[in-house]
Amino acid sequence: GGEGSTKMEGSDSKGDDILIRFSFVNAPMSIKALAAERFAELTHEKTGGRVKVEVYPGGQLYDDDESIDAVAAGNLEMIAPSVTKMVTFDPRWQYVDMPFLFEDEEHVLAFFDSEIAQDLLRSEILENNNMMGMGFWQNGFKQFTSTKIPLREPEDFQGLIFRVQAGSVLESTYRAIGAGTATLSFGETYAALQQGTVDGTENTFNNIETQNYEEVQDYLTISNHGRIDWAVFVNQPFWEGMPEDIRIQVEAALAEATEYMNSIAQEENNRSFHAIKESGNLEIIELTKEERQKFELAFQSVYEEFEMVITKEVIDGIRSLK
Amino acid sequence: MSLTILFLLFFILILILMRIPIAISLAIATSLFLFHDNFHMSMVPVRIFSSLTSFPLMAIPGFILAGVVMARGGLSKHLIMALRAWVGHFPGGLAVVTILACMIFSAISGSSPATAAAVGAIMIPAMVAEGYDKKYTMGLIAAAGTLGILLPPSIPLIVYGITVEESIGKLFMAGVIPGTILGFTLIVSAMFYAKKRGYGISGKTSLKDRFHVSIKAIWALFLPVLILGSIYSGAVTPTESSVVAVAYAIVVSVIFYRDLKWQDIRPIMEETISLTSMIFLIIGSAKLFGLYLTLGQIPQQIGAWIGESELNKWLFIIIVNLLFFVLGTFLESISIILITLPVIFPMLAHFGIDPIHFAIIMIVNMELAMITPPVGLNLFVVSGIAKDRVESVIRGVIPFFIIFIFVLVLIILFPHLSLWLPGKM
Amino acid sequence: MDRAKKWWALTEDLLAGTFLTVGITLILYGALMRYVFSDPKAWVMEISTYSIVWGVLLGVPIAWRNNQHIRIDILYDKLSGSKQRLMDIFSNGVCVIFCIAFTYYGLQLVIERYPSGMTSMDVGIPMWIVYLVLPISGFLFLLRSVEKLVIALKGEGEK
Ligand code: NA
Ligand code: NA
Repeated sequence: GGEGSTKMEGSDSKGDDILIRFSFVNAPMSIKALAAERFAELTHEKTGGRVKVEVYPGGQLYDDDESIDAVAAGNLEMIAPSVTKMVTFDPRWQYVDMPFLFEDEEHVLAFFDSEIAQDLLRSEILENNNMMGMGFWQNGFKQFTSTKIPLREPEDFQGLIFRVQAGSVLESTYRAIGAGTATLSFGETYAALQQGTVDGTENTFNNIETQNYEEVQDYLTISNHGRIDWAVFVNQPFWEGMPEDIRIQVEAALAEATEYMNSIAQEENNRSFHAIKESGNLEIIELTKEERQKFELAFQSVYEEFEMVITKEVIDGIRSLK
Repeated sequence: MSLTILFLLFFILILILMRIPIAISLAIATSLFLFHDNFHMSMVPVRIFSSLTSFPLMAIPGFILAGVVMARGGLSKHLIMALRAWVGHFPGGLAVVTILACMIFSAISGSSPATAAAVGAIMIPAMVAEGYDKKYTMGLIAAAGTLGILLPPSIPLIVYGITVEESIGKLFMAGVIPGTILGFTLIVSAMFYAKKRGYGISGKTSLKDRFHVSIKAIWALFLPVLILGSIYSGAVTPTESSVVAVAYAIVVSVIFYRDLKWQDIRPIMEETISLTSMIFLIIGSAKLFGLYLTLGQIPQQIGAWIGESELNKWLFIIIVNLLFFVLGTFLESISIILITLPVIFPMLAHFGIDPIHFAIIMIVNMELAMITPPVGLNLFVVSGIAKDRVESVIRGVIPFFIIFIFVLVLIILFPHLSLWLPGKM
Repeated sequence: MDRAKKWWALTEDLLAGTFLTVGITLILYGALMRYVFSDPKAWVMEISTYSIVWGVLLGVPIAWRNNQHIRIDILYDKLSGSKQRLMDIFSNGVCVIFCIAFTYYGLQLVIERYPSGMTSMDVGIPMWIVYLVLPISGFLFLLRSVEKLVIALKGEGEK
């Protein structure tokens, strides 16, 4: 439903005074906010001030689910939600939660540039909802953290409860190694880890450090078992309402901002990893090759369960990019 | 744009004075302005809906229901009798118990309306029965209930910590001394007030009678132990504990006090729903208003103005506190933090203000926001529980408001009150 | 007439009460399954939250029926009886307009979401079903507002 979506001020103008409001839930000093600010500056430069980007970090405008609604309705021009959130439109996006699907950062970047990625970003169902994917922003690999027990092998997870983000893939992943999942809200997670209401969680190095989970956890297992990434979306009628030359300039600005984003994401994750290591709050556990293989074997059932909905095309396609 | 906002505020106030419910006044005025800005209007109901779908908010219906069940099921009656027997004859004894209960309960819930709902349901009838002025009693609960976000855990402090990447553990510790000072200032004031008004001079109960009523109240007395224990043992989250409280209150009422009957179910649910719906509709409308403010870039404009006007540190603190106060009249605390912090935070380093100290200043302001009309959630919770007009609650809260300002000034002037404990970590 | 009113109130109470009760019971169930049986149910948080919010939104007309929505009487109390009546007509009229708009845009939202294929994050409930509560509660709220407006027009005043 999108008759109303072209009504926004700016989108119907002659080309000057175009306003792009860019909303996301990450903190004002997070890497995403830095990249968004960079995008705003570059856009201003490249379009000679004809396009203004207003950045709204920290969910001050909309929360994640609502921001997707707002872009679809045309009340907002640009968002960069966590990839998982797109499951609300298209189950194939669950690829991101599949355990050990990606080998390393290079593999992830190769996927971002691939046909499969394009197909996800510009799918028909998104188009029907006035959404258009512009590209991926990388965040990082997820690691396990835990309170009582160091996690080295699948058996160590038996009977533990992990706080995870929403999604059935994550639930199945933990079930496959005998653990349960609880989807606590952001505001409750810190206290729940502290109190021992849940036994552990999973996150990127950078999130573990900036959300202070190292204060309330004892062990960190470097597992690189899953991904958290973001994707940038715009309201399609708005995008197509912009003059061609402007579109090219904004696209160039976004491409540069994306490159910047991907480089600082790696830097920040490394910096956070060292900060966590130096803080001494967490005992760090590195998996051997054999230990990692045990996990991969245990997670076979997750692939059997989700191959149908995510499609073989996407899963095998991503694997072939290694 | 700023002029438009003033016009919108004026419009809302007119509607409120015309005796239109506060929630509707906020929602309809903001909607008209959004409509004028070509906003896609089906997003208005989405806004109201999604501002309510946060799991920690579910503690509010939970604790309200627990309170209503306790009142109907006999738990409150026995608790009140025990409390009156033990402290009723001290000047201000019950008022002190109320404040302490709020401080303890705030260790449970990270939310102020939940604290006011749970403590108010028991203590308002108890204090009124002991002869306390109802306005004063309601004001006391509304004010003391706000301690829920200053003493840990605190949802607004978590939001602050995540927004500016500050240690949540340290922020929690920072709230302890200011929260305790605020609590004890309230206690001292309550004792003086009670002495002046002659509260709490009912005859002393004999020791035998005291034990007698305490034994009857034992099941009710176990409830706070159960709630605190279930959270600190890691069994449940604070939100879940509200539901544990409901289950326990029902079981005790049915099995031990035998005061609850089938025909009580409907009035219990009706009261819970009425109260929760009133509060949630106001939260939804306030969030809609917050969206309009943010879309109009009002906080950014104010931030830019503060940044350009080359203020000194003290003028900066005064202006920022005034800003929080003004926003606090209309918005609820989480919105204020999300909207203003990204703009103001970068200036703190320039003035040499410690971010942890600033967090506590901000949280005390958020406490004030809950007791200032037109949008003050604690005022509404208390008005709903006590079944009295919100104007009476507002009048009752004024003296406590002054105490809060006094303590806020102390906290601003003496950063060590906030920074000493986290420094020990 | 009185009989109809009784049934009307009962319908409101049953609708809101059921959803609130289900939501609260689910939270308890979730806590029990996690803590006692170490078998957490990930779907509980989403379903219980939606269920409670449904109950609360359906409860808005109940709060209105019980005059729970906070109003300020400072000006009203100073007016004479006939002016109070005018104010009653105005304020209830505004509420009727609000309810019509809320119901209309709520319905528009459901119609927009129906073909979108959007589902909730955890359980995958179609969002148009989740949002269906908005026009329904808007409509029930409208009925109560019309009742109040009629009373004001008749000059009966509130009980
Ligand atoms: Na607290
Ligand atoms: Na307020």
